[in-house]
Amino acid sequence: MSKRIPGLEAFLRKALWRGACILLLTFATGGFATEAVRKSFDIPADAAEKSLRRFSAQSGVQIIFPTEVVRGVQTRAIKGLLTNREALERMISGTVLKVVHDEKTGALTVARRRP
Amino acid sequence: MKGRCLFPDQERIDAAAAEWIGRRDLGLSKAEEAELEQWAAADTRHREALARFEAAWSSLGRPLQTGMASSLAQELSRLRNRRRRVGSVGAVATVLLFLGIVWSIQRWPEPDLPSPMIVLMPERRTLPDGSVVEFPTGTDFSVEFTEDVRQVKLVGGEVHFQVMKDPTRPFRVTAAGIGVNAVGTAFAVHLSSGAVEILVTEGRVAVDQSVSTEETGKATPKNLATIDAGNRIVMETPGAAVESPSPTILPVPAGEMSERLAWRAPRVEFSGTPLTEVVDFLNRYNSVKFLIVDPALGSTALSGLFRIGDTDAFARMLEKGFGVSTERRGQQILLKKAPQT
Repeated sequence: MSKRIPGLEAFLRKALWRGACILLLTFATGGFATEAVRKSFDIPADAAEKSLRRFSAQSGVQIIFPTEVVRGVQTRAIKGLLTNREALERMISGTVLKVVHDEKTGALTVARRRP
Repeated sequence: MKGRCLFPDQERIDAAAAEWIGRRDLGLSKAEEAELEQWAAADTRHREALARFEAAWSSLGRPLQTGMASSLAQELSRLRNRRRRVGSVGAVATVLLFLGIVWSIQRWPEPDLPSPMIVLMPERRTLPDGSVVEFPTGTDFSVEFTEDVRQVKLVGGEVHFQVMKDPTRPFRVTAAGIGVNAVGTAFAVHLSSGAVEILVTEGRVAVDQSVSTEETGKATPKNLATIDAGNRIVMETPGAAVESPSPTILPVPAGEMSERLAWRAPRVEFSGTPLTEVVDFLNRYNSVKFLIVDPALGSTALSGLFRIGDTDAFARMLEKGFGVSTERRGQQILLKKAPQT
């Protein structure tokens, strides 16, 4: 028997009701949006498996990828006021990775470039 | 989690109980077991708190890093106990009228997780007037309510405020010489090393800046801008003596708003976690359930950071990045291996 955590569901419901429309906007498009919105980024050079998660935490963009795809890849450091696209492209420039962006949900995944 | 609490007794007990449950999961020595038994026996509230966290812990179903589990369990119990706590607000409010209280929350360590998942939730507190503050761990601010004004001083980090209406007592947030005034509204203030950013999610705020005048040397607030919901401003923070030019008010479209305040939504972070585990976890919190049809998919290791409630995006990203084909069937999303092309 696995019980749900009532607090978390209530939190999700309450957040919806809060009228600030934050969770309703969760499903709106975002990510590599059309306007050039700049945010402050600071991610040191690191294994891609870790730095891509850091990118998600700092940009607010959801990311999910097969752990195997990024094995052995190091990303570049990024720092300063950048758009999401600028930040991510700078991070993976010179690596075997490319970004795959979902227009509808704004979420990201990465794939290995074909040699 | 270090820091003095707004409602000392219950929060202290909850924090201790959560720690004990987390530690017990990692294994206790004989001496520690005796210590736990002693603590449980000391007060009926201790046993009650332990029972509550035991329930939450077992429904989580897997060990999490102790520090995270404590904060998570704390937050969940706080949400459940919110109604109970409002009753004690009156007594605490009197004490707070003439005190400044500093919230100083330790930063969570950077996760370096082999398999377990981490739930990321914002911290949340209710202020004595009923206003709600939400903030990512690591934010530092102090609450100074007096008879005339409800003041919060932001020292560093980001806070979202949901302000209770009280026309007799303005609600004012200060950050690096910038002041944000609200009557009853919702907005976020972010203070980083170089700038103050204010984003309004509901209602309207008036922003001022304290500028020292040459004659008196005293800093008086000078009105800068009024910001309505769906807008934000960014102001660089020079010294208090230098005036900022009138800041540009920037509209914030819906998608950008959810990105900027993404930390407010409950999210899960995973690193090398098998798909079966991620699916089990998501299925606990969503009415739409994932079902892995091709068993071979189950062992695929996932990494990422995702909103727990966003099953649609999760399904789409599995298609785009994992060679999965998804099929929606009522309240289920079936996951199959996509045919190789």
